[in-house]
Amino acid sequence: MLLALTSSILVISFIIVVIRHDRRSLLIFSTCLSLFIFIFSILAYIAKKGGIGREISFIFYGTKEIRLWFQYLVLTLRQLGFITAIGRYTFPLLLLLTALDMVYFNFAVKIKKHILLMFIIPSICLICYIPQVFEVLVSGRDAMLHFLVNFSRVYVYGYALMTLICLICEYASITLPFFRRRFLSKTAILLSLEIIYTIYCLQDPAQIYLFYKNDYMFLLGLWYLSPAMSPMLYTLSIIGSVVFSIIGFIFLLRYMSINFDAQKEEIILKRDAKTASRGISMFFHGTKNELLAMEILLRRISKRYEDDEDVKRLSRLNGELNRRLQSLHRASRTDISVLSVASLEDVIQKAREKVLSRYAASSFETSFRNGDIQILADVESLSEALGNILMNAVEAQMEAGRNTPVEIECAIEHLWVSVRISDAGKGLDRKQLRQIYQPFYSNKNSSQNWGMGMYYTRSVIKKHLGSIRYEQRESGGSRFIVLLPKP
Amino acid sequence: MKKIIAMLLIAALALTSVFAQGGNESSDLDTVRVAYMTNYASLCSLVAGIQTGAFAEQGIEVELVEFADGPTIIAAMESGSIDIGYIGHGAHKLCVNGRAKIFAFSHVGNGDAVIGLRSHGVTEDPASLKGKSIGYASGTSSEQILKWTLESAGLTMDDVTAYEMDAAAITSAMTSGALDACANWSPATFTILDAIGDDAFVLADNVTFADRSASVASWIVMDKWATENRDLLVRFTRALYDGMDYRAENIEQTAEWVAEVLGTSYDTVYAQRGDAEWLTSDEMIAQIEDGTIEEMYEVQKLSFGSEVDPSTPVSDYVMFDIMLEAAE
Repeated sequence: MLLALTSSILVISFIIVVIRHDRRSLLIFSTCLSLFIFIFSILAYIAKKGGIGREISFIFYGTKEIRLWFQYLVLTLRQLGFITAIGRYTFPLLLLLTALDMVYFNFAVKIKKHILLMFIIPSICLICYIPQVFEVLVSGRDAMLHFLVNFSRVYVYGYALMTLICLICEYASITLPFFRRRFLSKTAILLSLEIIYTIYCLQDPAQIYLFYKNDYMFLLGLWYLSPAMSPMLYTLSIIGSVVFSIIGFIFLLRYMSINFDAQKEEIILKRDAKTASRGISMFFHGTKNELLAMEILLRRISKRYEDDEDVKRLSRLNGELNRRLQSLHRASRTDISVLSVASLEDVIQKAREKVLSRYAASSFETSFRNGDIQILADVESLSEALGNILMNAVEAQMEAGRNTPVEIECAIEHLWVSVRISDAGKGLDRKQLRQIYQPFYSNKNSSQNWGMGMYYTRSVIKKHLGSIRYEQRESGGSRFIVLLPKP
Repeated sequence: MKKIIAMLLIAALALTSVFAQGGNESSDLDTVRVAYMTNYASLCSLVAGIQTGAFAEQGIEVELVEFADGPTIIAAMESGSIDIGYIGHGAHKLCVNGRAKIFAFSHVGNGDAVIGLRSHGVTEDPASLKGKSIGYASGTSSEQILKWTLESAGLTMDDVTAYEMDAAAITSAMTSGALDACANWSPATFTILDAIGDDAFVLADNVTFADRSASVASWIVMDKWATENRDLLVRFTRALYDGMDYRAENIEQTAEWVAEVLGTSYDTVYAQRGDAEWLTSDEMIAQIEDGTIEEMYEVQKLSFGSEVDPSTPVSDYVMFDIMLEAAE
């Protein structure tokens, strides 16, 4: 089971690195590989030297044939010991590098700038544990042997502790529940690897090649061969590791699947948008001249019949028709001229004004956790986009008969600036959620909507290299989270 | 995700409870964890004692744990994971050095051998080993017999390319032609000779050095464990004697039982019956009383040269009192 578990983890991490081919996947794969090397060499050593009962043999290897295969591997004890040392001393480093790649709190960011320093201690350990070097270093020097054994142990402990601290600090610094969940899932993979590593990490690999040297044999112990735990505890450890690795890898696979779905959705949306945009453009240009001509005519008629109420009403209707056509045309085009440094507070203010111009009684509760935040934005289009979300939030609350303020929370989340807009409406069901970003979709029974608002919003946010997410609030309302890159 | 986690936890708890139930079997017998090596010599009297009910009769349940060699067994006993163990000749130097105590004589063996490959330039002359690649298991009787073979031609370990390996790796490396020669013990020696055929030959074995040492194999225990469990140790020895006596008269049946434990063929195990001179308990007690066995241990101790303190009395590490008490 132990062999099957580590092999499966390695294979899955390899598949992920092939599919995602990014740095983090490569780091996870490297960590899994070092763990596999560590466990593989220890299993080979145990198979060769014995010392475990049938239950543990089954837990480790599964079948007798596999154990025999390990037993008859042609490896000298020096080779086996050094392979074990490679696994033992690369794993904590790779685990820490993987953890650092996942974290963004300030101190971690500073550490990342000096990442090469992390390699020094593991490199020293690896060099010292080359069997020939180790024997020269410790031969006749008991104090040196104790120092090396304890030094490497401190390194293993120290890096494991640093990894843990990094993960805890990162978790504490995340405030968005969605990010927290995602981070915990990623952490599960590292935990699963750590559990397996812990089974043998405290043992010194020199015991393999110094085993028969009388002076060292009893000092370094026999823990690789001496079952450190009962079969049940081994089983529990393996089950624990399986649970964590399944959670972690399911998350990674789901994340890949979400990305794939998002890409698919993006393609469909783009196709729909292209068709819609072409139709809108044809319609707009086909009617624009007639509407203008009609407006000129209406002005002339208005001058002639200044007090005629019907003429005034016709002018207003024509103006409204013209405005709505302009708005439709604008929504189908999300070209952004220039992104420049802007105040998020200004953008939010403009967005609020847009809503207040239609719903003067609406109210907002705005908070800026990190003070005024600077972003890179095309202020006009972004405020229009956020205004659409606010407008929907206000309308959702009106429909639900609630008049509490719409909440706007702005904060910095590591590499992102988040804008959370929460309302006390009825929320969206799954079907609505699937369609909300499609052009000409609206769930409002109103002649005032083209159904282009959220399509426009999403397009603008995408052009700002950001993303938009929906969450159902526990109280039942909706929460839209807009993430924009921190400049 | 929550559903998945819940399902995984339920599965984990279910599996745990299954394992927990499996481990709750209780017994009135004293459980003794016994380390053995994968050969007939190590297992024959033990398995005969188990199968004939001799151990159960003494209120003992034997839990067998397989090991590759004697030094590993002694280290395992030191760590507390093993109570009693079997060792071959090479590991006796650890007993002389006070690492463990011998509580029962097993046999004088002839299972160790240095094997060479003719096609690799090794001849019947040990001098042909010079510069050759040789696999051996350090600290075991295979190292001892290799050193003696080299000494007989005026060579040392520095004159050859020696590879420190385990018994199984030596077998694989030898049969694949990666080594020119090797030092190993039965049944690995049989496996190598059978697999390679005429190209492989025995350059030296225990008989070759009979004048220098007796290749004694013994049953050992930690001093502390022996003191704390003296009665149990005597009962264990008594059951072992019964096994020895049964083996003497029932070689085929014993070989069958050993084959079952090892998971190998009957023929492979039966072929090892000539690896030693097998004594009955009466014969052994007679040899203890007339000093023959003590003399063998004395010769063996001296054969280790500077690796042990030659002034250490045999009675310091061999518990003849247990052997005699068990025979009463």
